[in-house]
Amino acid sequence: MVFQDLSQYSKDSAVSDSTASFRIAPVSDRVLAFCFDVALFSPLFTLILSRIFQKIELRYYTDPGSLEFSVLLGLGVFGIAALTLFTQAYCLWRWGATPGKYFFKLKVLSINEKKLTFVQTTLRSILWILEFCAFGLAFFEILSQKQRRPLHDRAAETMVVTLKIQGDQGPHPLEAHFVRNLLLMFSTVILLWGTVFIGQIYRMATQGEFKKMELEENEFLCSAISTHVEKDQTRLDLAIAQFLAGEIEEDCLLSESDFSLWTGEKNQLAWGYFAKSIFYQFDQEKSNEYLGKVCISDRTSEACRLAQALQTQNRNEILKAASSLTGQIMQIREFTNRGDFSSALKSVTKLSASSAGFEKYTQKQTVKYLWMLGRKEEAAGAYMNTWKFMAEQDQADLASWLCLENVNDRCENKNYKACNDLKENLKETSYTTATTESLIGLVMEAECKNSHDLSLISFQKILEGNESLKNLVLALSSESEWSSERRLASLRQLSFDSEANVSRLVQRRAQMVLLDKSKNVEDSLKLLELLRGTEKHDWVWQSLMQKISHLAEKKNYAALAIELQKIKPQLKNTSNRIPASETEP
Amino acid sequence: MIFPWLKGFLRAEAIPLTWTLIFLNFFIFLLSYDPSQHHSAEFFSDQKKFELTAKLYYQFQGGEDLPKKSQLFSFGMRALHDVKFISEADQREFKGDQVAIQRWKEDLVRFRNQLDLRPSQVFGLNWNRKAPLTWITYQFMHAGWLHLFGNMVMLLIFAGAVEMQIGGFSLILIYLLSGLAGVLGFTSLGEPTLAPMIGASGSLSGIMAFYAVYERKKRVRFFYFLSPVRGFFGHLWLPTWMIFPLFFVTDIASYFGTASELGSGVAYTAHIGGMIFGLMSGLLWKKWISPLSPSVQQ
Repeated sequence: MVFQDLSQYSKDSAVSDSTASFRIAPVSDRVLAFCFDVALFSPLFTLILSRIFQKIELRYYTDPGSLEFSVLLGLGVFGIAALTLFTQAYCLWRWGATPGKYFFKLKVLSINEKKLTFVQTTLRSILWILEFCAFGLAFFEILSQKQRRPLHDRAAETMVVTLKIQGDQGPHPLEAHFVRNLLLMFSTVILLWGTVFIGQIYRMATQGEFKKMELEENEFLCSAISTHVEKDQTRLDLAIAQFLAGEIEEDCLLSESDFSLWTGEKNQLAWGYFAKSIFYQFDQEKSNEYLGKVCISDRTSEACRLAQALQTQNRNEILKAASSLTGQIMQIREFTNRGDFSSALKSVTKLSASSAGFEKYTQKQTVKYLWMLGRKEEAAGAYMNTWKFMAEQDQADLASWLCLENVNDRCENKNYKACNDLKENLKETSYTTATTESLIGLVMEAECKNSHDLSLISFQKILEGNESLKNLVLALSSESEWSSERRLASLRQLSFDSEANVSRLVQRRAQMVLLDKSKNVEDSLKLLELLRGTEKHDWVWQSLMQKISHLAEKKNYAALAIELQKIKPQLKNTSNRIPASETEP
Repeated sequence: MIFPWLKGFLRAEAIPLTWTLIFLNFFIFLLSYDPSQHHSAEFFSDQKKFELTAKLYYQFQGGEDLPKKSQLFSFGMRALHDVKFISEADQREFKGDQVAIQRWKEDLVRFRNQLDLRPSQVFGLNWNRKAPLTWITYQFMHAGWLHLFGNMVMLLIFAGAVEMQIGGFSLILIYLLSGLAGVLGFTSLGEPTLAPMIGASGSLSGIMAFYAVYERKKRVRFFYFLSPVRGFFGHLWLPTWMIFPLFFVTDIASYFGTASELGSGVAYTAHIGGMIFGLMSGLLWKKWISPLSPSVQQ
């Protein structure tokens, strides 16, 4: 049985019934006609579907992940497709052209029939919409097909012709070949991209990533707190305490405090304002403004008692038995500031046993307080037991502190575990994560061992832009070629400069080294004068006083001994070792 | 891009009143243009302040506690469009972070004071101050160079063509009355908003609609441009009524299709008001007035 070959277009059969001489429509006119139709119909369709579009726009900005948005979007797309299908099919069937085609003098003809049938125009429009949805790639066939008939024209047995005098001659064979290959390449790329994209979606769906995203987007509260909060605990009290203990980031505290302030009960408001004052602790004015609001919200709360203590600088109030976690942490900090490390250790042990969420803090502080109390071996044991279970950052923090204390305790050619651990830890990040404390510790260790394994160049990142630290390191390290006079001059400048110019840690370290190196009564007296004006009598303060006291005894400096007598009662609970650095994170 | 070319850009001798209108718009724009006015928008552009505004607006609307995070944008946008909120929020009591709220209120008062000094607030059509003089002055104010340029090009094309048909003074009358119809559209169809309405768009819509109706049986030249490649730009002869689907349906669709909470920065309602007036006046003019003055038509 032989079927007639319908795929071949015979120009004569298409136009034989017409008196006019039709020509293939130029690509430019077809593109312009399409743009004209878009300009004409898109406002009309928007008007018809305005209610849906209004809701889509609103949902897009308010709840883009909701089912409602997806449904509305689907409805909108379906509405446009349906309207396009109907308009296009009807216009082509009725007039042989859409308005765009009409004004650009184009006409759609059937190859075999006199007049287009509605089935033909509907089929053509359906395929046209499908091609549009497939990134419009099939439209580009117009550039390669001999008679400018892309898929929808061939399938519906139609052809677009122009009524203008000059028609199109069709593509050059080379041009057609080039476009075909280009289309093939684009299709392959899109197919590959689509496969990878679907793979990603599948992976996300199976691993529950979408649920996680949804929670993160809509959750006001901080997940780091949620995992530790217990029934009888005030959530915000826990958040503040964890923040003060260095367990959570400041963003976490901010979102928790905001949530309490905007949604909380009266007693929670007090904690909310207190949290804000802690958040803005480096902005004195704002911090005080928030502290002032704490007692207005709830005069009977623990937050109010603590806020009043901070406002009136009544430190003894902080030491009273605390019912809140924040109160307990502040109490520990106050014991530390007063040099009462025994009480601080007791409180840390109690906190560790009673509350979850302070593991990092209690582990680190236990090691430090044991060391400060002179229970060196116990501190080393606690360090060994906890170090391996810590996160890398906490490992580095604790190792830095202990390394510095070890070196300070005995400066000799010895391998200290904390220093070795610290070096291993920093090596993994090529020393880019080194802190001021770790750098000073390692430089001092290298000096004690007279080793030159570690070059200062490795610490370029932290030294850049930190002039005071750089000067201290150069004054300490034999790698610098500074004279001893220059080293002393630099140490003096760092020791007695204002705290606005030199960080506290660098200044305290410079003061200690200065006392060791100069052994000069003038420097000691000047330093003593500075220390007398300091409110905090913490570990470092006590260490410096101890050093001065040793110096006075050793060198028999009478003037220094007299000055020391005046503040002797303040020297208590200290071991006979020389401590090194700050105690609080 | 497609727009009517009609008779093209006519010279001042042919259409003196159209050019006078254009110079007047340009002159007033130069006098009133304040490039620094965008700086006071910092009050709303700061992310934290915007979120706080949204939270406060949520309470202002009767909500308790906090809106969902995904709703913050919507409430923030609605707050900016709510004249009542902006005018009264500093007098209201809100629940929440009182320190931040107090600072926000101070910022709001400062912002409002800055706002009152802007020429666009003084001479533009404002929901707060319904001064009758602004019904006229707003028609000659523009927000920026692009706004002015777009309006003036269309004014030159359409007002020029209308002036050739009905004369200069009649054109001025249509311009002003269409602007007043724009006021009517803006106040009756639009949502209260903080931003004042300025621009010749309402008047221009009236003139365009007038022309489209007045010359409805004609075919006029439209210029189209898709790309500088040959064949993708040129002229096209279309019926005059095509101005309606190409330009005015967009305004109507945008009016109905845009969520009122979000706003769009374009006063579609004023366009619609001007268009309705232009349409009606065009029909009346053609039927009643034109036959009385054949000389002007020629």
